Amino acid sequence: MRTGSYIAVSATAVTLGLYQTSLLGALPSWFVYIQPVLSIVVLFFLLKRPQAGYLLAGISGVVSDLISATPTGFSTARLLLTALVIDFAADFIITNRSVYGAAILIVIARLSEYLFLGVAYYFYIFILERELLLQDVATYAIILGMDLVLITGLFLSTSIFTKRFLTIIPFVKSKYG
Amino acid sequence: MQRQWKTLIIIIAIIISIVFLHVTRVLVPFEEAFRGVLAPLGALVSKVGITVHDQAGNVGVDAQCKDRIDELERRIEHLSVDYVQLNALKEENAVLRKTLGFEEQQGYELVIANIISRSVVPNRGFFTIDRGSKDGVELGMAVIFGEGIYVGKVTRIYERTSLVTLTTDPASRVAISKPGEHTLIGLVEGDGNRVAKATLIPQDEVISQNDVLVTSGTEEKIPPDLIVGIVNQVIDQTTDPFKEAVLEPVVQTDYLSIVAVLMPKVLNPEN
Repeated sequence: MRTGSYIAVSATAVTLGLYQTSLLGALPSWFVYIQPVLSIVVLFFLLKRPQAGYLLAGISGVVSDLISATPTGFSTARLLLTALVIDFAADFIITNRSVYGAAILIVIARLSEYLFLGVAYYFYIFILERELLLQDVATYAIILGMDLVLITGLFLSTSIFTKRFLTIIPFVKSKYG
Repeated sequence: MQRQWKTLIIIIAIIISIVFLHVTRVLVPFEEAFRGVLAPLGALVSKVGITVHDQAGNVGVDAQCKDRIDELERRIEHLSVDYVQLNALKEENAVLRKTLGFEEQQGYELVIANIISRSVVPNRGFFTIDRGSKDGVELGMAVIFGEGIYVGKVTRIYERTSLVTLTTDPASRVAISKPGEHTLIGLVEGDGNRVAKATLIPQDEVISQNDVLVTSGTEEKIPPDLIVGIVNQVIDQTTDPFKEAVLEPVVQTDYLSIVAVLMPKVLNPEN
């Protein structure tokens, strides 16, 4: 990745981190279902930009851990491990770049994140003896629904405006005409 | 596959390093430096969110009605403060205060703070402010809005930021009394969903709808006569030794962007 790309991804990550910690709590309550970090990480892996995906996950996790009002359960670790799961899934499970592939990846991502959050929850309760606030399963289901809408929008926008997901069929004249 | 396994090892190494450096407090100066940079950005972003929230709440509401509602809410705030101050003055004039000289020296001063982030978990009430131990803030200090409306107390401190637990959070507890009386009559516990409940009120204590309840002053670092809420409903079962009251906060904390931490003057590092 070029230096300019690192700067752009870092700025995006800080912005997303501030959105999750500072903006989300101040907006009307239904905004809590719109959490774009994982969708953008999935998009980066679909674009074969794993460094950007890991960088975005790590920096937005750090911002959350530093200024969030509620205990985050070590967001940095959770998001980095989720990015790793997406990396594995993108390379070995969903090998094509399609809307359906993107949708399955975001489902895998969100479920993995929820699993890591559950591990953190029990770690907090039994090892640290502190409270970690979790949203209920219904809220997570709605967040997943919004993730699917978001990743579809991101994928289609990227396809239309950048042509990065186009499959190119070379036009080659054969000896028969 | 090899790349992903290498990445896994790197990530695990990063996580273990962060945990180790955090626990041994090596990372603390860097964490505080980053918080110092992020806090003003968080305050700005939070204000943008409140503006959007306010505008979204106005959609479909007649402009005149909205103005009237805002005006009435401001009047309730001012009238509540005036009422509490009047009762406090009456009490002060009626009783000989042996500690008057000590109280005049004591006093409290305000440390103004911006809200930089809020809880997004439903039925929980927290926010983070951009003041911390460097500004003299300590655990248990009262956080107020305006002229004396109690919003919550400081429950976690960092060098440049602090976490405030609101009155409406289920983990919040604050001792209350009637205005000017300074005798403990009960405890306010958060009920989630922006509502609080006053509990452990003795049966012989007279409480009715629209009564204002205030801090009792029996807790360290929380002065008396800060308005906690207005009684919305009294729950009284004659078979119970105590009664309860549902309290409505005087201000909606969703729309706050600036609050103040009450710091006892004797605790100010400059004194």
